[in-house]
Amino acid sequence: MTVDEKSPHAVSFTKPSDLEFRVERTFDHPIERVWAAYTDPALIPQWWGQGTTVDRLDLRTGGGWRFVSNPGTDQESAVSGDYLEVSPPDRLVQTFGMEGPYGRPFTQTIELTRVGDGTHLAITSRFDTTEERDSVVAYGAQKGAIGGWLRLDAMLKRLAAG
Amino acid sequence: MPVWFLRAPIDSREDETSACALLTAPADAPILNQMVHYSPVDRTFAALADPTRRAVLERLGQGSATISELAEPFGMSLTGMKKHVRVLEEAQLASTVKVGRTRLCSRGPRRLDDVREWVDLYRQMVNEQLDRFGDLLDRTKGESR
Repeated sequence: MTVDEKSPHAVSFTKPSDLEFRVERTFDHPIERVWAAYTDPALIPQWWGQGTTVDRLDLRTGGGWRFVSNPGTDQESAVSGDYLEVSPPDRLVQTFGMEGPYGRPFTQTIELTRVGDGTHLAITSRFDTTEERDSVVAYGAQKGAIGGWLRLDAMLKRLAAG
Repeated sequence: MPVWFLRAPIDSREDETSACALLTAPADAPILNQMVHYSPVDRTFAALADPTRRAVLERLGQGSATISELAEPFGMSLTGMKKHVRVLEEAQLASTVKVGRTRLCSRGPRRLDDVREWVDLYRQMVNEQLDRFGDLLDRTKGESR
């Protein structure tokens, strides 16, 4: 776990191995809420962006998920995967595939850790080859995480306000 | 005078105004005239041309945020984020208000209608061309066989 003491909300981006990249940051919200943000089909559309809807979310080991972005437009696209490990509220392992000609699915390990009243969130994406990892990184994974988590933070703020 | 031309005089702005103008002004534009030549749709596209500003805009679509809330995830200085927010403000995509010692940013009054209009016109033009090409193909069908 990497936390910058001076700016804990800064998004850290690292490459722990030749096959992985990891993004992480801290949120000033309880771990149960952050877990729900990734696993509650009612919450996903509130921060994922691009009008995303949840087509399927079967939260159990061996279950699967499918999210559709820009539904009903000519920009429609989908991401989907299987749940490999579901251990609320601190560990979710899933495959993540972009449907269409965008390469093979990779494996995401989502780890949540209590930090005071807040939560540290780390997502490690693991690929079969370095080339696949690098192409996803080049596609803008780091900026994508920063932007997505800005919206996630906004949603957590709304939930906290009741 | 068009509304978009109305802006606070430079000297009432904080020091990042000039740096902000440099972020968006075309390299060959005479400094004095740049705002005159800059139409609202130019400013909108310039504001949207940066991934950080698009992320900030999407964030503001969900509710207000302070400059530091926006800056920290990017690992950016407050001054750096203020420059980005100023570009969004000039495109009227964001607005800010000072609350105590912090500056609160919100969604601005414009809603990208100008971008939609431009895209719609472009698509209409391309579709008309394709229709004409299709008609041509229909008319000449079989002629080359």
